[in-house]
Amino acid sequence: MAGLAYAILTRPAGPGISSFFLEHSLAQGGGRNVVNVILVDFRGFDTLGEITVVGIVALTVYKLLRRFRPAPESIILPRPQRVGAEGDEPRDPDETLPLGYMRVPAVLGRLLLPVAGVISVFFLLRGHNAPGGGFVGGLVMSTAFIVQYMVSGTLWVESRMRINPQNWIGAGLLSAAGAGAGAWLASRSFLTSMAWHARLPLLGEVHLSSTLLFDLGVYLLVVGATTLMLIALAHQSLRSHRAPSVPHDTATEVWRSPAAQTESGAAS
Amino acid sequence: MEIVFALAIGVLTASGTWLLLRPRTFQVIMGLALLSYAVNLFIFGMGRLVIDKPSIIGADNATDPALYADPVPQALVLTAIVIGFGTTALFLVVLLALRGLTGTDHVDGHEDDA
Repeated sequence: MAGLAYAILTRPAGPGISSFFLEHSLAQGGGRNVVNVILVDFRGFDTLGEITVVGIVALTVYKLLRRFRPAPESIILPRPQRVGAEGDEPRDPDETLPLGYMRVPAVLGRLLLPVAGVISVFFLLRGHNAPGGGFVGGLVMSTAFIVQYMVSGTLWVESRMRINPQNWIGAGLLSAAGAGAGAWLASRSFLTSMAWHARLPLLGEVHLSSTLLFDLGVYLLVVGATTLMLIALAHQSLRSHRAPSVPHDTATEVWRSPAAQTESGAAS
Repeated sequence: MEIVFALAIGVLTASGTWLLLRPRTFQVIMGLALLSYAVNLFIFGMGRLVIDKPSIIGADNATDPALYADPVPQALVLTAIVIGFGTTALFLVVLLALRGLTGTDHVDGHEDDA
């Protein structure tokens, strides 16, 4: 493998299709970042299918891990009652915050969230003409969310934040597909991009294109899918804390009904 | 630079293949991840390694391919990274469920008696 890679790397590149993309990126795609133009314009349909796959994977992960969740009746109850009823969790989510010197990364991580949000939107908006794009921006944003989970604990974050990653996935797919279908209104084929240069007061020259909407869809979907997957995995640790002594063969039954869990606990 | 890059691909492939053949599920996941890194680097390397030539068209609107890095492998590898990420996540969760159902992290679902 290494030899093959070295052999190819040391030989000059033959004429490929890349010159086509370089020549037509600015003229037809309306963007200077050729990689981004290939992704959202020339190969836009491929990217649309790809983010669909990622969304499906995220929902599958969520559903597979949901099987290990507590029963629905314990989810519907408000969190303070549920915590009080189980008795083995702190009543106030603030009590789960790390103490001592571990507070320093917790506070820093919390300060990081707005900064990361601004940076991710910046990447999203400049992606068409400069390094950046929907994927990068979405990953920066979801990393900021995950940092909150890591430094402050799942309970504390969930008690404050109510984002719904499933809605983000849906909005992302709709936005990307809508950007593609919008080309029909201008009697062009699916996913044809259109670019405008508008001159707004205060802001000066603004570069607008329909691929920005497509990239926004990619951004929303990446944020939603990554956050959904990692939150589903984070809940695993929460659950193993609640019932650490459940034997493996009865685990699935017990997770479905907390009543059975207390009964078996009382019996043993 | 090419020899370091090629050696990195080789090391990643070798360790990925070795880990993929191990009996524990976590090792299999790590092996799959390393193997996908190797493949991604390989795809990326197909555009040849060039320095200071980002594939972003400059202010003079020059479109000579010799001035820019090859954008096609970069776009393809971005797609490959995302799909690889999704595959790893799905595989991880399937193996988590396997661990929960069988009570062992052996890939066969039961420990070897021998």
